[in-house]
Amino acid sequence: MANAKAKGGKGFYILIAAVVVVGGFLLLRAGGSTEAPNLTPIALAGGDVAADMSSGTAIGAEDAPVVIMEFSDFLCPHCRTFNGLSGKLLRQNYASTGSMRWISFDFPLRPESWAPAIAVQCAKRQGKYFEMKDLLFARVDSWGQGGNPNRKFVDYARDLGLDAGAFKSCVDGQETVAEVQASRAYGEALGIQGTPSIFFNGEPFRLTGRDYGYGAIEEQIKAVTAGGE
Amino acid sequence: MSYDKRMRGIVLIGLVGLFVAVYLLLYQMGFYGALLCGAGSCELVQASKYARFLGQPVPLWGTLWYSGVLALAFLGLGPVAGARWLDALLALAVTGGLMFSAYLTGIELFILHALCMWCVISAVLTTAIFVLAQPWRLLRGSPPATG
Repeated sequence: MANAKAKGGKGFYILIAAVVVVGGFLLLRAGGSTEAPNLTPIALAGGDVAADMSSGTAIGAEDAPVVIMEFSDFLCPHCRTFNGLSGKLLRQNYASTGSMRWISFDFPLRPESWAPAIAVQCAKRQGKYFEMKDLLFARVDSWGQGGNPNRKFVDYARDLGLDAGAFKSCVDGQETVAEVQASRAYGEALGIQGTPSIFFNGEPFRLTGRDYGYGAIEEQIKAVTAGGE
Repeated sequence: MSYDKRMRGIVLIGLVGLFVAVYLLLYQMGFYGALLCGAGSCELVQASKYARFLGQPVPLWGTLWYSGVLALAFLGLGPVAGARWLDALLALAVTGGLMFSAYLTGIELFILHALCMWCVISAVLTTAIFVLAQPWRLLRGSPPATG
């Protein structure tokens, strides 16, 4: 090292320092945002196109003071982590208390993501959307490795106690593709480009922290419910 | 180009590559929500089974590789510059790195049919490091050409 310095590399070491500073800055900056960019707030009570959430799947009271909208892709690793660390727990803890209504939208970003989206919509027909959603995220390492995953999806349907015959016919016939298309089209209309994308009472919500926003969302739910909004 | 300049080039390029690898590693560890890559290909590549090698995330191997090459290039700027063992280690590392990079690019092009921008950047950096390290000099038995 001393020899290198002796060779008169001041400029070289300045360059190294510059790369370290710029690289470190970019790494830190990249960690600041986990939301899709350029999202505009949704007027939930407006009754306009932006507020038409019929293509989503909801859980929780219709008059809940908090409405959370989630757009996710089953092959997106962060959607999986978000669902496991945050989404599932929030639904468990707040959807049943009447303080939160959760609306999930399927937003397949890639061709391979359509099969699980179609499958979860098939499970919705039998009233088990969220159960199937959690299972698909939990077992993505098994079904998400290429090939046709429908056989595995039928096994999962059996595990959930669904009518496997009807479910198989639904996924093989891609009977719910229109529902997925509607969900995706709605997300596109809102300007969503990446997943997971979350809206809290119509406002784009930035997912931060190792708990993927659970603490921040919980805090806001408590603030809204305590404020009687 | 002199040995010293080549080593300095490897240090600078290796440093950039190290940041790319650490960025992808942090992404895989869940520190970032979405890759700065636009929708589609990056996440498809990172979510595929090929994003792991020997049970560990590929970016971890990349981080280790870039760190190793950086360390060797730094040594090449010091008192052991031009040592046969150092050149041999560097030649081994850059050749292995180039082959692994070619394998990953092949997976992206021919199996996943998706290109991850960061992986392409890393492949270009790896190739540049290979060219600067000039491992073929070792095979030809050329002198290290220090200074």
